[in-house]
This record gives sequence, C-alpha cells and structure tokens, in this order.
Amino acid sequence: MQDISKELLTQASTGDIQAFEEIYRLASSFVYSVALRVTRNADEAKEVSQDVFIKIYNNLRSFRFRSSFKTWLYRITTNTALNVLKKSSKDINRRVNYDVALKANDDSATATHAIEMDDNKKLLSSLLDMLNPDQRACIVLREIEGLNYREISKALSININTVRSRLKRARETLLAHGKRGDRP
Amino acid sequence: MNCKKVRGLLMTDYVDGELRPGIRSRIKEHLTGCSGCRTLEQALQKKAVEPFKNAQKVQAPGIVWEGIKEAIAVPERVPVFIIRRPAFALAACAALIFLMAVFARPFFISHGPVAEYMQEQAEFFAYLDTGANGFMDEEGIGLGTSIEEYFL
Repeated sequence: MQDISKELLTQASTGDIQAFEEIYRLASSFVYSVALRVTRNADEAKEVSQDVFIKIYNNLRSFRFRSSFKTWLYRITTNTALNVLKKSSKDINRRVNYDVALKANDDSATATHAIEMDDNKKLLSSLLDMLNPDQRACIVLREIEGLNYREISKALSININTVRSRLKRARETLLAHGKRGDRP
Repeated sequence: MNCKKVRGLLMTDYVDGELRPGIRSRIKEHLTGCSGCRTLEQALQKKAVEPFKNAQKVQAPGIVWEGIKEAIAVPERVPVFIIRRPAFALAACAALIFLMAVFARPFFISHGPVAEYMQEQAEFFAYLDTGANGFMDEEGIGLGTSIEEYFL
C-alpha cells in the first residue's frame, strides 16, 4: 500500500472530502483486496470496504498519530472482514462470487495472459479455500500484501508467536493438499 | 542445528525473511547437507509460497466509493446533549439545587401561601398576648380557646 502523508490525513480529518477521496484512492486497493480474499465474496468485500472507509472518516478527527495510519487501517480492515465472514452464512455461493469479482478485474488482459492469470487465480482461490479464516487472514497479509510478522500481529491484535503458528499450520495444510495431488 | 528445528524455521521465519543473517546462513548450510530438509524447502516454495507471489492486484469497484460518498454526505447524528463525565454532571446538578435552595429561601419565606399562613399565626398569637380577646384570667393567663376553659 502506498504511503499516506500526515498532511493529507489532517486535511481529511477536518471534513475535506477531496482529501479523503485521495486517501481512498491510495488505500482502497489494499482494503478491497484483503476484504475479498478473506471473505471470498464480492458483495461482502464491497460492504467491508465501505464500512472500513466510513469508520475511518468518522474517526479520523480522533486519530492522534500515536500509531501509524497503516497499522490502524490494517487492523480495521482485517477485523471488519473477519467479523463479516463470521456472521455470514453465504458459504455456498462464496466461491462463485469470488471468482466473478476477480474476473471483472482483468477485462483488459490479452488472451494468453488471461489464460495464465486464470490458472493462477484458480490455484490461489483453491489454496485460500483450504484455510480457516484466521489462517487465511495471516496468509493474505503476509504473502499477498507483504506485511511482516510485527505488522500482522498488530493488525490482528495477536502475539507474534501466534502469527508464526498460524502461518505454519496454514503452510502445513497447503503442503498436505499438494501431496494429495488434488490441486487444480 | 537438527532437522526438527530447521523444518520449524523453514515453515515460518526462513521463507518469510524474518531470520537474523547468522541463523539464516546456518540453515542454508544445513540444507546443502540434508536432502530431506532440502526437499521440504523446495516443496514449500513451490506449493505454499510461489502461488501467492503472482496474485493480481484487485481494484475496488466504483460503486464502493459511491456508497461511501453517500454515507459521509449525511452528517453523523450527534446526540443533542452528550454527558461526557456523568459524575461531574451529577455533582454540578447537586450544587445547582443547593444554591437554588439557599438563595430562593428568602423569597419563598416572604411570599406565597406558607408565608401568609405563618403571618396570620404570628398576628393571632400577638393578639392573644395583648389580652384584647377578653379571655384573660386574673394572673394574666390567656383563655383564648374552649379547651383552656374546659381544663380550668
């Protein structure tokens, strides 16, 4: 995710919609990507993204820069996504909805590239499906968004060793699945 | 470093680049001499790490920002009266009531039905004291009521 300056945040905290739109432009890809990959549902990812930015807008005035904005954003995003996922009972349609959302993102891809991307998407999708929500959140933050252990532990409000154990179990699951040879 | 420890680190800190350089180079050394751990490391990279490296970036659909804009355009409903410190508010109310009681007392004493009644009673007793009612005995004790007459 791109850096967001203190000036921009201060400006947005006064109710400046243009400044807030700029924050949205810089952070929305991260928020939507995490939300989509954790919830595995496009409608819920939209709902999570809207919730996250509305929470940010309403609470920006009380943000005192004691922690970094990124950490705050990571935490709000993962918490909101996990809460929505836990409440949700749309598991049956989740996978289909997720694939449709990803397909909508690569309309401009060339045919060959599209096939490669499609294969990779299917693989990624099936890998994420194997993990429980907590492991999935850790893998998404680490492998796709590139957060380090400390950032993940702050985002999920868990101990660094819990981050390690969730990543270890997630990878064990992925390896076991690969050994069985039932990967697409 | 034994295989168990190496495998534990391979699954986490090693692939995630969280190890100190010294420990990392010791693991690399171990991998050159241990085919079992080397196989695990290769499988791990292929099946659990590399597939995520090519994950495409996804953009939020335009409808997301539209929804946000709509929501933030409506000002958040703020309660008309917010009590941020209830204990302080309670103390302030108690002080106000006390002050009203102290300063308003003279007003209520000199006006209103209670004050009128008290005034009437005072005048009546003064009237008894003067003996103007005609019910005074020889020693000057007032006999202003039928009860007094009865006992005497």
